[in-house]
Amino acid sequence: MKVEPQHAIWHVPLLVLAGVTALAAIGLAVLAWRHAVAPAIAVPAIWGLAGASLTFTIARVIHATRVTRRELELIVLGGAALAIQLSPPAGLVAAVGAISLLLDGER
Amino acid sequence: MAVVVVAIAGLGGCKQAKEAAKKWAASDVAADAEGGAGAPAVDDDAPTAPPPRPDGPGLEPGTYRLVELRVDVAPTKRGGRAWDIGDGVEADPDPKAVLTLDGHQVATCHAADSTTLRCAPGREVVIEPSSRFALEVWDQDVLSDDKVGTAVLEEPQRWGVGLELPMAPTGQVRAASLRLAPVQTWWATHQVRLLGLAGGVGAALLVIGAFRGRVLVRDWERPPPPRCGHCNARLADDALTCGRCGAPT
Repeated sequence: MKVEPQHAIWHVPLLVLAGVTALAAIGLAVLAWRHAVAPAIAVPAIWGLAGASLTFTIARVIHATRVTRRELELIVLGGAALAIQLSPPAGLVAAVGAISLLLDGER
Repeated sequence: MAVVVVAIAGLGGCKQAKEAAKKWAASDVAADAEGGAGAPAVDDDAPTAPPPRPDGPGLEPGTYRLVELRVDVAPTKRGGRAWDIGDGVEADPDPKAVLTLDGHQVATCHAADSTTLRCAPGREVVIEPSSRFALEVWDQDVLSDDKVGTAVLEEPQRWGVGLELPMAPTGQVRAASLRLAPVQTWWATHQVRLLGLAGGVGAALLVIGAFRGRVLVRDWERPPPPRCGHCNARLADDALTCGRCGAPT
C-alpha cells in the first residue's frame, strides 16, 4: 500500500498529544516507583497526565470523521485503568467492556 | 540457633541437628531456672514498671483503622542470655506479635533479628465501650517459639484517634503501642487523584481551545469520484464527456 502524506500520523495532532501525555504519565509512574519523585507530587501529576491523555483521545474521536476501533479500545481501556483505582466494581465493569471490545475486534 | 542447626545439619545430618537443638533448649531452661548470671528472677506475668496508661479524650464506639503497631523487646532473655545463637544482630530475636481485640485476632506482625517490631496492619476494627486489646509476642525459632511477653490496652475512655496508645507490657516486652485512625471516606481517599485528574482534563481542554486551528485538523478523506452533472453516472478521471449520456464534463 502506498503511504501518502495525508495518511501520516502527524496529521492527527490530538492523537500525538494523547500519546505524548500518556508516555509522560508512564515515565512519571516509573520514577515514582523508583522513589525518585515524592508521591505527593507524583500521584496528582500522573492522574493529571492520564486525564489529559484521555481528554485528547476523546476530543479526537468526537471531532474525527472516521474513528478507528483501536481509538475506542484505547479510551475504554484507559478509562477502565483509572476507574479500577477509584472503585473496583466500576473498574471491573469497564474492564469487562474493554475485554469484550477487544475480543469482538479480533473476529 | 538457626545457624547452628543448619551448620550441623550440613555437616552431620538432621539427627545431630535435633540433638543440638534439644541440648540448647535444655541449657536455656536451666539458665532461666537459675535466673541467669546473677540476674534477679522476674515473674513473667508481673508488669516490669508502672503500666503506662493512654491519655486521650476517649473514643466513641465505632469502626476505626488500626494503622500502626509498635513493640520493643528486651535485648536478652530474662536471665541475660541471648535470644539466638550468633553475634551482633544474629543474637537478636525474631519477634512475632499477635494482636487480638476482644478475643478476636486482628493483626500479626513479624520481624527478623531485631528487638523492635513495627508494622501497619491497616485493618478496620470495631471498638466497643469495653473493648480490650491484648498482645502476645513470641521469638520465632526453628523448633519451638519462645514466649517473649504480653501487653494489654484497656479503657477505651482514655483512647484517642491519631495518638500513640501505650500498652501495659509484661515479661520481656519493654514497650508496646498502637495507633488508631478514623476510617477514611471515599472522597478523602481519592481526593488527590480526582483533583489531579480534573486538573489534567481542564488543562487538556484549555490546550484544545487555545490551539483549536492546529489540533482540530479534520481527517483527510478521499474525494468522491467525479460524476456526470447530467445523469449522475460515474465518470473516469480523465474523461471529457459522460460515457452514458455524452454530456461534456
